[in-house]
Amino acid sequence: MAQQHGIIVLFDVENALRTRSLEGNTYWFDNMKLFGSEGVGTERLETIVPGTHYLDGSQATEQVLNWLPAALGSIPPTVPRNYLAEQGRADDRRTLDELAGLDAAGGVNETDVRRLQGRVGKRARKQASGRGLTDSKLLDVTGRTTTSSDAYNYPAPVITDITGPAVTEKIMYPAQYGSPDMIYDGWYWAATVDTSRPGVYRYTMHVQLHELVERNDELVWESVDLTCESSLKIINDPKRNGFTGAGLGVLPMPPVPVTG
Amino acid sequence: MPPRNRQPERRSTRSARPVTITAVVDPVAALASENLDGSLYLYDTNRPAGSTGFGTPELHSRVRKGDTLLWNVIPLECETYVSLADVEIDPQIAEPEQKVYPGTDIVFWTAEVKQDLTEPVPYRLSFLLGTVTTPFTPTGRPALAGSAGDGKEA
Amino acid sequence: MTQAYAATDFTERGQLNSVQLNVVTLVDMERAAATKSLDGCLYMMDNSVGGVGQGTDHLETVCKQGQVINWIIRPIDMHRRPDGTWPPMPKINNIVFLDIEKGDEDDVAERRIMTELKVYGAPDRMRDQYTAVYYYWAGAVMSEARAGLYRYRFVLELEKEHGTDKLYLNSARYPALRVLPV
Repeated sequence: MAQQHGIIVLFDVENALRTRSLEGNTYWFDNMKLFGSEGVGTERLETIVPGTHYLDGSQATEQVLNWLPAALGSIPPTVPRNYLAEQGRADDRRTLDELAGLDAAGGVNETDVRRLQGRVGKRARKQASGRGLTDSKLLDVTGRTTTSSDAYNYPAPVITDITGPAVTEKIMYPAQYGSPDMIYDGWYWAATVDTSRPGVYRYTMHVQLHELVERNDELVWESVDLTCESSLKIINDPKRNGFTGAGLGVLPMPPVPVTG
Repeated sequence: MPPRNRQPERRSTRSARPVTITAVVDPVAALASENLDGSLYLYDTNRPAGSTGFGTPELHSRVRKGDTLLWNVIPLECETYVSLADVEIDPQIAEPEQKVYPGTDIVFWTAEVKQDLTEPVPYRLSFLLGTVTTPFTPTGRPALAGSAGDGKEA
Repeated sequence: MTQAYAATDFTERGQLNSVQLNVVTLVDMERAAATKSLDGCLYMMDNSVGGVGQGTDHLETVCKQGQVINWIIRPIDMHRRPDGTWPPMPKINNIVFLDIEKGDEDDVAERRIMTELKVYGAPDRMRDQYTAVYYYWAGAVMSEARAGLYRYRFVLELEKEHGTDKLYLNSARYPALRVLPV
């Protein structure tokens, strides 16, 4: 398979929630700058998609796009979410053990109780329509459990749909695929691209952000749906192997195996 | 009908939220060209307060005395190792400490801004990429800058 | 080709539990069909740092708790032929983790060390007749998995050159995950 394209979208969530818009709060990246993507790191990315075909014109191998949304100012997406959730559960088990060990006869120490309360942390209720929120505690931006509703870690933004001319004109075929990492409830968006029609095609990404609000004395995650746009530039320069500069195929091998 | 969501109030005192400075790194391009030029994009969470240079290595972050700063990294390639090796800045302004996200070995750095800034103070970031043992340092330098005036809210 | 670990392979440097690991297995389909065995037919490689056995059929993949592992398998010959047909393909039917107790190495493990270990690659919905469908195995090392060596067995399904029936085989030797402490 040809190299997969990674498109990373960084959202300034705090600002986007304040202005209720992704305009000016979205930064797009892909891993194809060397091949000609333009606008990497800005709001106006044009992802290059080189053609992949055999000499007879038939499709040789598909191009695949993968999207990864991230929140600026939050725990980076490299920290596996299910890992943090499991750590939280392990913490809770330890807390229960320690609670059981508190000796009422000797008098329960207030400091101990506060320490345990801190470890239990706070959970916010997830609204019925909230996507992508794993059942975990409120964290601060350093990944520690917090009971304060200031400076909480924004959950990862969730892509809910990809639409627009690039989809309706059947340039790309997006869908959600599963992943062992529960960061987005285990789903991420990917698409294959038909590279037979060169041109620039726009697409709209539908994103759901989550905001922590206080309602009737409890904390609730409220979802906010917004959209942003990007585009694909399909070209029909044949796909080249990044190592050899030649066409796709097996890599050149030395005639004698390297010893050592 | 459920009560309408109220926008969080603007606080007159500083928010408890740290100012996060995020380095987006293209490790594959950096390793291929053996330097970070064109492969490093800096952003922070203080754009409303006047930070400039977004998406370049020369980010100027608007900060005030007492602000907590947090530096972290987002790599553009999930199969390549990237980490922030060092944050070097005048210790009179800030003394960054290396930490890890709980239970992981993923590094971030934090510091408190010790004084108000009258002029921009440049600092140096260095990164470890892939299995290369020498840290990479960008040519451009980011800086911490003081507030233009009193009003932090836009 | 490294067959032993250097002391430096176990130092913290160079490995995050956030990096997704790919374990790629190449299958000599012709030899497997001829011998009805996977002995000498599997060549494994991964993108971990320091795992021994690269290129062999008993690769040890160095990883950490929380890390995602993807298993990719392909035939050595996988190019479309001039007549438009494709060579026979292998498929992983199962990845079976094995007991760590001495004497029980062929038995299934008593404790899970992977979470969400299953087949991935199908879309949430066929949104179009051309929506892509893939097939690969993946899982995440459990965060409570203890550091150590965890061997596993492949159960493979091999297409035949002629005919639609398949050949089902167990891997001859056991590759493994070597879990390092975070």
